[in-house]
Amino acid sequence: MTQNTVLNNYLNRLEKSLGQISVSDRAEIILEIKSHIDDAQAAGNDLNEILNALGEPETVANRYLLERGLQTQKTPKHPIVKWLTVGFLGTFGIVCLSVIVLIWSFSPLIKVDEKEGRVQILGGLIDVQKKGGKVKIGDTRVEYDKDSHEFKGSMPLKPSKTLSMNFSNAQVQVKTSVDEFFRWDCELDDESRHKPNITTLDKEIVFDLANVMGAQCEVEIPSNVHTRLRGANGRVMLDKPSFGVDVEITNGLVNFELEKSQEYIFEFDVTNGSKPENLNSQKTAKALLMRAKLINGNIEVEGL
Amino acid sequence: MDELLKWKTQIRKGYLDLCILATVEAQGRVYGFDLIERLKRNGLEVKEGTLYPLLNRLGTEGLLKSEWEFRDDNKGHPRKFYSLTPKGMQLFRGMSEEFEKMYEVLKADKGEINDSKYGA
Repeated sequence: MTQNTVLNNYLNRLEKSLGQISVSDRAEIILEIKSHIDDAQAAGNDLNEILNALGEPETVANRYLLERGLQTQKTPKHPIVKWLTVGFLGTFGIVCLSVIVLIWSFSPLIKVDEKEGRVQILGGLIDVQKKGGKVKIGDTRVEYDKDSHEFKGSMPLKPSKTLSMNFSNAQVQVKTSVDEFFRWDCELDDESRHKPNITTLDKEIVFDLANVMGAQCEVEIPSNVHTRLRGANGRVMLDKPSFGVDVEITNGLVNFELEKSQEYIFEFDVTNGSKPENLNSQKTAKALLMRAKLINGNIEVEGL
Repeated sequence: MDELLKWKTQIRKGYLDLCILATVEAQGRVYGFDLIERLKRNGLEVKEGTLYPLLNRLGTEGLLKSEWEFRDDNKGHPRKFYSLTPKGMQLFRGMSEEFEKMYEVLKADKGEINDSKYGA
């Protein structure tokens, strides 16, 4: 900025801030300040020094207003100060809100109930109950009741993952879940010393009953979650599946109860056993693949 | 020293008016920049941003009158010269008398003040 621009800016701001004073008085004030600046410059002072000595034009204007008993004007803040303030307050508010929400949703951070043998961490996000062997981590729930040998639980399961179940000497009843949760409710054999094992992999959930002898499970699987069942000595009952199924059993029985509105493609392969003849596969884009491979056993289909 | 600062601020307002009127009276007529320089030389630092509004007020109160002077050569800038009005002169005399009186009181009691527990 040239010296002239700086001076004009200063005088303009001063003039504006004198608002309530009459036009002629304002003009005279500006003229006098200008005269002072000329005198000071003639005396060898630098313009910036002179303006600094005078003070901010708004402050000087307020002095004039005060001396006349008029109401002063608010000193305007530099626009960047305004935006910085708005930005800072906004960010601060959001951070505060997030912290409050976090603390609120995760509080109490840890709660131990010795009497009940229960530990809750992060406001119940992780919930371990000794009685009944219940464990809850986020959306996943697992319960194991030692007395009745019941193993129950649920966890969210998206169609992007495959569900793999392995079993031996078991009976598994499979239904379609009404939501996006995979649920299981298993009754384990008294003699069994192993519990079912659930492993979450990148693209797969493995529900392993292979070491659990004589389990009877009811599971609910969300629509379109491809389901693989592998087992020996057992029975699998599929009740109106809305997901692709791939079953391989040695010594057993596979029972399909079909959903009438759903289209299916069947691929059945039985060695030493029976399967329904003349099944109509509907080879459309929406059709679900029902694949079953059996050694020593029967495949039954109902609901056609 | 906070108390001293507070007291100085209180007393300064009236005192500054008196000093300005005194300088104008002594010079007959004076313009802003000259007035600041004179006050400075006499040991009274006054900010430009304070002095001009003050002169403005003394003008609107009818204590000072002003006139613009354009210099003969037309090269220099105009200056606003202040001088005392009769009302201003009257007030200045009254203020000076009061100030003298106060100073007399202070001088007369100086010994006593020095002896008191509040003394230096």
